[in-house]
Amino acid sequence: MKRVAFWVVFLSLSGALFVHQWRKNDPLLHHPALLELRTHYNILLLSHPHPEVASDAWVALWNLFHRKWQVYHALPAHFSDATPIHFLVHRERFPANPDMPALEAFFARPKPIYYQAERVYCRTVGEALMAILYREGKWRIDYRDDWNEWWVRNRAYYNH
Amino acid sequence: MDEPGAVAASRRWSNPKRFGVAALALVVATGALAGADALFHLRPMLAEAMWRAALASPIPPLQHEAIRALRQHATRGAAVSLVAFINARSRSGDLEPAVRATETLCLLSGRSFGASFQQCRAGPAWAKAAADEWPEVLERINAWAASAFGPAR
Repeated sequence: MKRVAFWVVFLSLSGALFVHQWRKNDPLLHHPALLELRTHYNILLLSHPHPEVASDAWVALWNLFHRKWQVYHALPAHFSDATPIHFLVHRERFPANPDMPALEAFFARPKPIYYQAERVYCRTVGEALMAILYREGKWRIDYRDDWNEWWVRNRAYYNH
Repeated sequence: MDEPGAVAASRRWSNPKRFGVAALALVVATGALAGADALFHLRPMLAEAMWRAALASPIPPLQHEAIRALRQHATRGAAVSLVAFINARSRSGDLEPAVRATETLCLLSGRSFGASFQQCRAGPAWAKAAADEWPEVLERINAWAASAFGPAR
């Protein structure tokens, strides 16, 4: 009986410790072998019907794009993806302080695409991905209501 | 040497074995569903489908609960179901559930559709629209639904 109790307690504690360490360090989050898979997975989730899930995937892609060079070059391959998205991407000045130099950046909102908004900037997965790139703020030509035109005019700069 | 009947009986599954296989199949199916849910976020989709089915049911308490629960599911399907429900209830002259559904639709869409809402003192907040302004509200809802979910989209 004592032996059984020992193993139950030992396995429970070590399991809890393992889960805690896994969540804390998340070894698969930035593993290079899984980056491509993770990128494709989040691109797939961009078209999820629930806006919370899709906007979380957009934020995850934003983080991956700005931190991992593999993802930096992988996103443009999906710019022609015309799958509709179901969340809002809105545009705002960032930072909001008027005394500081600011960018006109795009941000995902966990709201449905039909939610009342000034305008809908992105309707497809490809456009939502271009909005992630736009956040860089180094583009020669500004976005003028046409994502494809914006990308055609700036793609050479992106490649270098 | 065993008789043929004894061999056939030994090959048949005993009850514990049958239950064991059923339990294993259940565990595998649960694991597969949990994995699919973790990967593709199926739970909100299933919950939404369930509440949309409840909205289409003829049981009023179930409909009220569905109208309330669909506030958590801001999807195209939920909005389309609510618009269909509002139209169906308006045609049958049953305005109270239609007005409740309109309140949920307003929350989902961020629009008022010209409806005036009042807060009840007791219980959860729910909407009342004056009967004379209802046709205009309904017209606005349908116009918005046609522009948001029509064939052009």
